[in-house]
Amino acid sequence: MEEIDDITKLRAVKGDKNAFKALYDFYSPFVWRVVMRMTGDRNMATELLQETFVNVHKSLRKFNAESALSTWIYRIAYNAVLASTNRRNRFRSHLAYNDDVYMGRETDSYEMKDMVEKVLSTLSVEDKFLLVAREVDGLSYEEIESVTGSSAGTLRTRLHRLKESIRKRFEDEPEIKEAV
Amino acid sequence: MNREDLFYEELSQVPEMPSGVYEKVARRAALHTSVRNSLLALAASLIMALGFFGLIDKRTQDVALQPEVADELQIISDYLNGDDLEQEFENYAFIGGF
Repeated sequence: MEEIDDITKLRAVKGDKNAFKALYDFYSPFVWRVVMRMTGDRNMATELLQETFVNVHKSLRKFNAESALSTWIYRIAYNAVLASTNRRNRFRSHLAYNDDVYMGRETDSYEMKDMVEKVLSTLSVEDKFLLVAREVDGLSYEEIESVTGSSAGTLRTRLHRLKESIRKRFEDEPEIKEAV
Repeated sequence: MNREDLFYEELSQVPEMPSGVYEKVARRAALHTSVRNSLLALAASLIMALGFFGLIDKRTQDVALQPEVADELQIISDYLNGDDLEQEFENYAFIGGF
């Protein structure tokens, strides 16, 4: 996982506004992708993105500069989504996924959008994070471990099962067309 | 590209980040900073006020006379005002056998 340079990181920790903006620009795309996929709702994801970086700003002084800033920020985002999910219990993916998620893309078919929606609707928010963090953004198991608190071994097993179930779904639903 | 690959490609597709989020974050962060600074200033004022009044109180205690000194001063005062004469007469009467 890429990290912002140390000078900007230290300046942000010291309270430099420009450095904080640079930090937001650097890390927000990943946070956005994860919260968007975990919640499936654009408005909710926007709120959570905002909440994440407000919390980052509040806690930045306490950040131990020797650890990875990326996983620290992702942990804040992850916890914000979990807290929000527990609080409102309204992120039911089959309801929350809307057309916003699929706007502006080039490659896929409607069937594949539907498939992603169906698959994600059956997963817990923790599993959605695992899937996106590992398969889309390429975080290592150790990085995901430091975000979620689950051991790398457990995560590896969970992801293996997840991918197996996804593969099985494709086998079970042969009507889905190949888009490319 | 097989369907599974397409699935993971699809998974990575999300709408563009909404604009204006950073501005909201910056506003809330600035508000938080000013509230925190105000609370710190209030706490510092309270500490200083408590320290000031504590110091005054300590000085008051410091200038209060010790009982022994107060007794001595009372004796001197009685001597100067003649208030101790009656006691003195009694003492002399006792010693002189009057």
